[in-house]
Amino acid sequence: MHRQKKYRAVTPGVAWVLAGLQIDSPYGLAALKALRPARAKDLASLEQNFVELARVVGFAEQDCEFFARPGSIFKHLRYIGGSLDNLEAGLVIDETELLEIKGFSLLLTDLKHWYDASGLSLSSIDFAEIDAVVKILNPDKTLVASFHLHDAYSERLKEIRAARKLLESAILQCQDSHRREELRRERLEIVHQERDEESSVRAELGHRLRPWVAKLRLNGELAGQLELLLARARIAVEHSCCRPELLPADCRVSLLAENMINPEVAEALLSKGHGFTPVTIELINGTTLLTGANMGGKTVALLTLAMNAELASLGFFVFASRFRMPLFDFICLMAGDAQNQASGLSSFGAEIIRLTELTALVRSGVGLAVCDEFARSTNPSEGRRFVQALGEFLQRSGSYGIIATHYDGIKIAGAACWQVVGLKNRSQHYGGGDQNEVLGRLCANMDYRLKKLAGDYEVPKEALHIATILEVDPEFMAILRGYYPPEDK
Amino acid sequence: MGRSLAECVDNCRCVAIIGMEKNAGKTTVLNYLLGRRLPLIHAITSIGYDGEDTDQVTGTDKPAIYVGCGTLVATASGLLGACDFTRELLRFTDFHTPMGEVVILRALSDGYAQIAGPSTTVQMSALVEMLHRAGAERVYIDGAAARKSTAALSTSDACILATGASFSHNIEETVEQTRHYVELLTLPRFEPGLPAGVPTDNINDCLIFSGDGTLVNSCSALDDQCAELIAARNGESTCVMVRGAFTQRLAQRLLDKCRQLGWLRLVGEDGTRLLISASQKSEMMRRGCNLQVLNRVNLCAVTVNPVSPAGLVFDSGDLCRRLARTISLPVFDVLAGQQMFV
Repeated sequence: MHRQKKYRAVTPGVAWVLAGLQIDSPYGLAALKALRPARAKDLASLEQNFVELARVVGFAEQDCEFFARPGSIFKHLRYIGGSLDNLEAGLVIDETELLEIKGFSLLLTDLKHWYDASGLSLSSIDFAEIDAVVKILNPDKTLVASFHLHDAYSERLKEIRAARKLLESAILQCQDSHRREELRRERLEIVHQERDEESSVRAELGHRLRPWVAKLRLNGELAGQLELLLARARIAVEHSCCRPELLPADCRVSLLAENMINPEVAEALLSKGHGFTPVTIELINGTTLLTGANMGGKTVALLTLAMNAELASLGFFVFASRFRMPLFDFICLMAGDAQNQASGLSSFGAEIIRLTELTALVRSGVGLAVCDEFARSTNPSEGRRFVQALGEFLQRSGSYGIIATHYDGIKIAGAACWQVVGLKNRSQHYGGGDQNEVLGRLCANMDYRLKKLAGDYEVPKEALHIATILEVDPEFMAILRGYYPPEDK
Repeated sequence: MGRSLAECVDNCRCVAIIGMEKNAGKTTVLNYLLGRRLPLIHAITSIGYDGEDTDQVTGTDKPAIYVGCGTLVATASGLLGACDFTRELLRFTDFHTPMGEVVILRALSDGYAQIAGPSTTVQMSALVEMLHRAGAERVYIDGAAARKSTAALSTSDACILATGASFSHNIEETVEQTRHYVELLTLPRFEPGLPAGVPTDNINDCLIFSGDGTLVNSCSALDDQCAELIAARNGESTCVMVRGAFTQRLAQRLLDKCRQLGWLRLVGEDGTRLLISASQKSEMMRRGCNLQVLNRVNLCAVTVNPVSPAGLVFDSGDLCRRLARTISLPVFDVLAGQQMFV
């Protein structure tokens, strides 16, 4: 369970969600580590997961304290795999291992009681009855969380300890140093006898506990799965997420995303006093092109879409009011990849490597390809051809592709075109104050929503306009304007 | 004849026993205190690892800690095999030492204990709190040798200092250094305390305030530039707070630069962080420096071990009387009939 590599999120938004999950127990963390996106063939099991998640969300919406009790149990849960390994290997286990197993069994019994009483009755989670383990480790009538090798385990142990007690009080009372030394030697002898007998008791306890190892392991795994499920539900409730509608990968029906939110970006905006404009878009089977003004939020829109698709495939509810998607075999994000550049690749080299990966993925199944400003790093005349080729390639691939681009004149038969609505009021005066303030006013007047275009698109020429608003150096602007045709100036 | 050592810590919930040096008799004092069959639930833990049969530094035989039935013990799981009392395991603590995680036990019989506890202040405070919650009415912390006892001192509400022949072969030197150390530990408290909102990073641990309490500079107390920054205030009322170590080097540079120190109030985090020599301390005070601490240690007694590991034996009565004359605290030799010298 510890050798498995952690899932590496495709989108930064998913990495943010996973990092913020409320998971405390080592079993929950193991379940999170084992998390992998569902593929097209896993449709039935992912649907089952959503049925269960919806059930938990329903319960949690009725009861604001719903997560409190299991949460406090998960906080105290320790990983006992090592102790169980020793038990299974037939080793004589020590007192700390027995305390560990007892603590685990008590907490799991608590968790089972809570779960049974909650009425959740999920088909994937059915804790094994382990009351007998608690009874073995708690021979007393009163249930205590501590552990000791109780006198009740062995008559001989009881006798040895009684004799030890007598000797120790005799030592305390003895005035004669010679006699006291003698008594001390006797005590040492009896301490050894006690140790030997304790060791037999531990061996016997191990023998009685061994048949329970599989059930204890199973309960640990189930606790982890339950914790992950509750963590998913907690996010869904906190952010009013919606259950995705899943379609078979080969349905060719469009992906429909209404009012998507990117919680990471929304939180950053909120801290500056701004709101996040929900994104709505529909992706056809084939290629969808997205254009829009600079600073119009194309990248955020793409990342938000990819994040939600990835979340759905990981069994999470999504940050949207409605989200219908085919269950993809892959989600591929081609966006500015700082990591490749850091590893010494040129930006174009990095893009070509990602392209090679994408073409291989497309041949392996139906997926979602999200490409932000593809071929931005080469010259525009060649870049345009690269984008045209990618669009055509995706159009016939059977996958779902979206390409955000600044290049004019891309024409792909059957492709859908979307555009950022853009600046609300082009003639408004934005000047005054420093550039950051102007930038802020500009953002406030940007309509980040996406609109579907009826025919082919035309790339909006907003760059000159925005540079003018931002009061870039006049000499530079004069040179720049010289290169625009008169009607664009 | 006045109070006994046990009476000196009568109302304390957490008592740290620290030594001037190794073999200063900390364990003997602990055993004496644990051996008082008081109607109190005792608990014991240690800063790091102590309680081994042979002192790992000097190779001499050491007394083992002997706990009574009912005592709570916080020690590393790897040392359970070396503890010979019958026990109940109460809980894990999540504090890990090189000898395993610290667990809390309750002794169900008398017996010898090997104790290793956490060594950071944060963990020690949390552990003491756990012991209290587990029912301990008084917690003893077996502290380390003097300079390394910060964690014990900042957690406890009372402290016993063990000193003796192991510190120096010269009885006068032992008495003098003990007096110096007692003075550092019991320097008066800086009453206003740490001003709110001052930076508390570990690098810039020396904070320089003007007379009206404005932070004018901060730097690392280990940086040679530190003395310059302090000396630059020469003549203007200044309060310097050192949250890390105030070293002999820094003290000497300051003495070299300033003939008068009447303008300076020097506040250490606690006495253990002031690593200055006795002569530096008296010279600084002679020049008018006002030495204070943020946390004053409630030092309630000094104990002596007249025997050094090298075989040197001081006259116990003589050592106790000399100490009692120089410091205003009760002095005990717990092996010599627990008498008190004041």
